[in-house]
Amino acid sequence: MHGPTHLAVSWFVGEAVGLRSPKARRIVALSGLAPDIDVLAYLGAIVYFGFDKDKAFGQVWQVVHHRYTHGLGFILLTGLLVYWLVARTASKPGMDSPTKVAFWAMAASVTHNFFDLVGGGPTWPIYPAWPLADTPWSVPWSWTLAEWPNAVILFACLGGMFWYAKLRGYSPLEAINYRLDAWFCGIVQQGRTGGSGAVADGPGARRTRIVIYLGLILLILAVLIPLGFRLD
Amino acid sequence: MAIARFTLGFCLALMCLWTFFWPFLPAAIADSSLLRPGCLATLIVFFGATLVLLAARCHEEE
Repeated sequence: MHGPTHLAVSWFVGEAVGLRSPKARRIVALSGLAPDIDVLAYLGAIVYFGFDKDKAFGQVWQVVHHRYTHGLGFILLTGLLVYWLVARTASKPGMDSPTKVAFWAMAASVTHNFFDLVGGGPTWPIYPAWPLADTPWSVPWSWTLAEWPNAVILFACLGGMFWYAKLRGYSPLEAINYRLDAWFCGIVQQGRTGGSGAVADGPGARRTRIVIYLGLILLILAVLIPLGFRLD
Repeated sequence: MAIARFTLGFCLALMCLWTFFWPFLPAAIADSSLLRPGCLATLIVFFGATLVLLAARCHEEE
């Protein structure tokens, strides 16, 4: 599934299970996205091979993607790292317990692997038992990124982000940046003060909202069109 | 709420089954015809349980 889907779903799970601290929700959301950190290997390979994308794809991406970070080993590593990170600030007021955050971070990582099994495409197996075994696992009916179920889930997550921002005043964007989230929620809530800045209601705020909505639509198209997006 | 939480936890357990254990189960146990409907049902129920819990979060602080 798409990266933003992993991030948003993981954040929504963290919120649904009652994580009170924005930092804890951010950690769980990023833990749900973290297995795709292997994309850095592809970017590094592109630079290494002098921007020869075909070489980088064949010699690095096809070998590395889903192999080292989509398995039990990485999930356990995520849990340990999150526990250590949260334990350092556990005494601060409003912070969730390290055990709870680490558990849900691991759960988010599990969902990432499941989503990639179901919606990562049949040609991109995961390696669930790595490093204990190098056994690939994929299913022939797995949706590719361009297929409509992945698109529907992505759009539903984006719609959910708007809905939650309007209802609650915070959204999955806090996984990226708190000020960005406050600004976004302030816009969506039609001029209510959101965090660092107040957005005055009126024609200016309305124009800003339209620009944001159009920008989001263009971003979605920019991601999906090169993938051969089709509504079958 | 308790049912939704239990359902979410059950879905996570099923995700672990389909993702990490299914490929290593003997063929006599792991009937491949179960996999697709099982995975899709898990996905749908997981989203449903998450939505229910989110709605409960919105209401609890109103």
